[in-house]
Amino acid sequence: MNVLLIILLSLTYWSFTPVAQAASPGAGLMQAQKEAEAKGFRFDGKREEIVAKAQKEGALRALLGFDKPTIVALRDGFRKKYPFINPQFEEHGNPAESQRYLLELQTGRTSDWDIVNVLNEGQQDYAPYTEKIDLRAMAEQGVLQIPPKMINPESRNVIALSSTIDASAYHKKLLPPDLVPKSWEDFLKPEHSGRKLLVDVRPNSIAGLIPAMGLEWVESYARKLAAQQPIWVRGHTRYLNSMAAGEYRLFFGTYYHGVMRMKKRGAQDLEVLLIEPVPVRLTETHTIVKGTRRPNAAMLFLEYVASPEGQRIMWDVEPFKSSIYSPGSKTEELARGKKISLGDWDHGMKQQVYMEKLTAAFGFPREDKKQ
Amino acid sequence: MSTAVLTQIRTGTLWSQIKSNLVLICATGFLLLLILVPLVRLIVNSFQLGHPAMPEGWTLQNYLSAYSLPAFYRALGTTIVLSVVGTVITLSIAILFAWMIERTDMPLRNLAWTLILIPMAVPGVLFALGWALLLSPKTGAINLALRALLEPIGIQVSQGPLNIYSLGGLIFLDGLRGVTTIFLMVVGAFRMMDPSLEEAARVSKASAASSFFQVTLPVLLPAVLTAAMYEFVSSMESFEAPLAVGLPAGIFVLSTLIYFTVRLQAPVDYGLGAVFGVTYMIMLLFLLWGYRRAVRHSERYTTVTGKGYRPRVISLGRWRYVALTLFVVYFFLTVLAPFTILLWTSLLPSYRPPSWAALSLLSLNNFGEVFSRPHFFGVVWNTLILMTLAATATMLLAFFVSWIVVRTKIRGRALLDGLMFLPHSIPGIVIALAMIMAYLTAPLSYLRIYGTLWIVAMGLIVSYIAFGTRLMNSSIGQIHQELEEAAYVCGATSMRTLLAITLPLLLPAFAAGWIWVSVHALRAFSIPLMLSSKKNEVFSVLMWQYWSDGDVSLAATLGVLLMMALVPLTLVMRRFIVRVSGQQS
Repeated sequence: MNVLLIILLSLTYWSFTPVAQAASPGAGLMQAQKEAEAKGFRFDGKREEIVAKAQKEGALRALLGFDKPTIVALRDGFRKKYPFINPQFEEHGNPAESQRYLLELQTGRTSDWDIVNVLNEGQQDYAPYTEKIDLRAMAEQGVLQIPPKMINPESRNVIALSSTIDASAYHKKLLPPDLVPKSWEDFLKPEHSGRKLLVDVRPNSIAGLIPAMGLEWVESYARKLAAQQPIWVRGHTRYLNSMAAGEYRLFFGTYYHGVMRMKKRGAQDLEVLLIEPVPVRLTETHTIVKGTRRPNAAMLFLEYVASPEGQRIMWDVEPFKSSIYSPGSKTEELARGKKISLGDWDHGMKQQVYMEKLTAAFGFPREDKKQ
Repeated sequence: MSTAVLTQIRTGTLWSQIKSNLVLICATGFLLLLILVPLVRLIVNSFQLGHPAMPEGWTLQNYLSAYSLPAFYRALGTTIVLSVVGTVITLSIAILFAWMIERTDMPLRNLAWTLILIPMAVPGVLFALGWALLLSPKTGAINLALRALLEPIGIQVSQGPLNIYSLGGLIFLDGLRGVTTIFLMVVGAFRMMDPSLEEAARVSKASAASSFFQVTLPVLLPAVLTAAMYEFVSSMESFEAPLAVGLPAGIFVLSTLIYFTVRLQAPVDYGLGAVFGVTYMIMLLFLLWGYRRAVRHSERYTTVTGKGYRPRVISLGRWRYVALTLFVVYFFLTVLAPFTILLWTSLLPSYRPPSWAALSLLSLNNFGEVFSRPHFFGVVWNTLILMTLAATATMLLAFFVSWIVVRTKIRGRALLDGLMFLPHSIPGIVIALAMIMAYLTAPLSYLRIYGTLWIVAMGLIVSYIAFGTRLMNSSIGQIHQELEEAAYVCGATSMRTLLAITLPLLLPAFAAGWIWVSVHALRAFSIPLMLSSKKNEVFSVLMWQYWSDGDVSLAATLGVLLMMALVPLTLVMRRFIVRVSGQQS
């Protein structure tokens, strides 16, 4: 009987030990730390240590992809939360600027920036110049309060701080109601051909349909769209301004936040079109620069922007650009109940290839590179 | 003192020669590197795969791809059509005005002579943006006015009738742009032409028009042809108007094709851009060779003789006022119209066509906004530094090189002179692309110049050195050698002679060139745009940035400020150059 009791107790102990070990907070962290370090990443397990180090660093310099008012709001909010960190931010949202900065990094020009905005389709180009900190693991372990899905699972250190909803726009006084597109195919109608439609030369928006519709369908669609002889544009704000003034009537593949911003400024004749599947892309990708002198302050700032407060600023001030992965965000609310074509991280990594193919489908000069 | 003795004094040992001419050697070497290295790098990169900073191997694929692209041939065809038609229009207008102003009794001729220079003060990009606001199909001010005029007579159109975003629009802009330069090239020939030929025609009862077409024009044909070739080459390099109004219409020319390939499309393609750049450069070199050949034999057709004469003014009768009207229309189209719409836009919170209702919205807020933006004064400072740097370096380097070409007997100086003229045939966009490739690749990448103001200055030096050396060549040729030889006899080194004697004598020409380069640096667009970054942004690039970002009013505000600075500078520049030309003749 006693022997049976001992055996029973032993079995019970061995059965529950893994659970007990797993339930212990240190175990998961240690495991995550081991895995991160095995991949060559840095992993900080204690939040208090990060804050203490950030206090010693005392400053932060970031090239951010947001507009000026958003930068000001984020700076003020961050400074309020961490008064010992002196933030210095600059606008860096233009793709050409991102490209130039990448070229400067590639020529070995050192910079004193801690955080930089990264072109979504150029993430791989930035990879050698990013600090190897496993932000994803730290988020998964709760060391940083960031929704883990906001961080690239492959690179581990690139974070998408917002999401862009690709929409279309029309001028309600210039476009007859029966011509307002209700599906993607409606843009290909003869009524919209012959320089009646604005289309961006950079096929970001149309590439956003690939997750839902497939590459082949989107390439074919791009060719048909080019055959509509659209007005090719670069720079949405300028053309939305011109639309508001009455110059154009329909804009294919602009940004939801761009149109809403114009309406907020008084362009009441502009209307936004959300056509299903609605392309939603991860945007405002930022990373910590390799060799940064202030990595801890950088981590705290990225966490701040990903927080509900930061996301509220992204929606109210940017505006209309909070992350779809941020629980309870306005973007998530807007997308709820609609068929979405979500450009996740995997899509983002293939973005460069997609852009090449779609640029060629548009008929612009592209090299026929051997694959 | 015999030439042999002088030569011995000047020759000395090789080492002492090098020591005493070290600055000259360094200046020449630097200039050669500045011009040749980027061009060689551009050619090399056209045979490489991958990013210029990290090439991935050698290939002919870039060339095979480029020459199999329909877009390339479309752009080439458009460039040629634009250049041919634009040149015909420019020549027609310039020759007509040169004749009207120099040879007829058109009223207010002297004023017209001054006013015709003012379009030079309007940067190409501003000219294009102004006309984009005037002739946008739906909301352009002129189109709105035309539709209002057509409606009462039963012609109702929903847009237009004119559209700047078309090949016709590009030709219109290109045709008007080059008139001042061609006018300046041919007006001297009109002034100096022996009038007895025309008098003989009039005695034979030929009308003014017949005299012009059958006597004046054929006699001046060589000058006209060389001007035509110059204008054709300039037209081929056109960038600002095709960027502003061609790209939205999907109309590419070679320059915008390059810009699109390496800056706008996603992802960029440097290999393809390099091939387009090399092809462009070779075409223009060929055209320039033809131009130089034409210029070389132009003295055979001279009508300026040693005989003294007074050019006779042809009476136009009632047609005088038609002539004046034509000039006024031209001035309206090239200066008044674009400036007015830009000024109007700069006074509004956001662009709207001119109307009585909009008058209540006019204010100077945009000017306040521009001045209050934190980076504005940084941009102004960058622009001033760039102007000063480019002008000083260009003229100093031109001085040193020209002295070698004109004064020395060094073998290869003709080749050196030719190399200095080479960049004249290379469009700014190609120069900028070549600079990017050179300074992104080792070993020049270690200089860390990319992204700084230095690279923009260097691009401008390459662009303007041809002008600087032409000016210095002719100016140095005017100064007799005995002044310098006297200094050598007294034991002065070459460098001391250059700086203490030659340069002070050349000061008027040097100053004229300095002003010319600085004014052109202020209005430069393609090179600063391609090479710009946050740290080296200049005025013209900031203006374009505002336009691209949709801040049309702020872009117009900067445009107005730029024109207000350029108009007096251009007039001063012209006065200086005329004075220097007068001294030299």
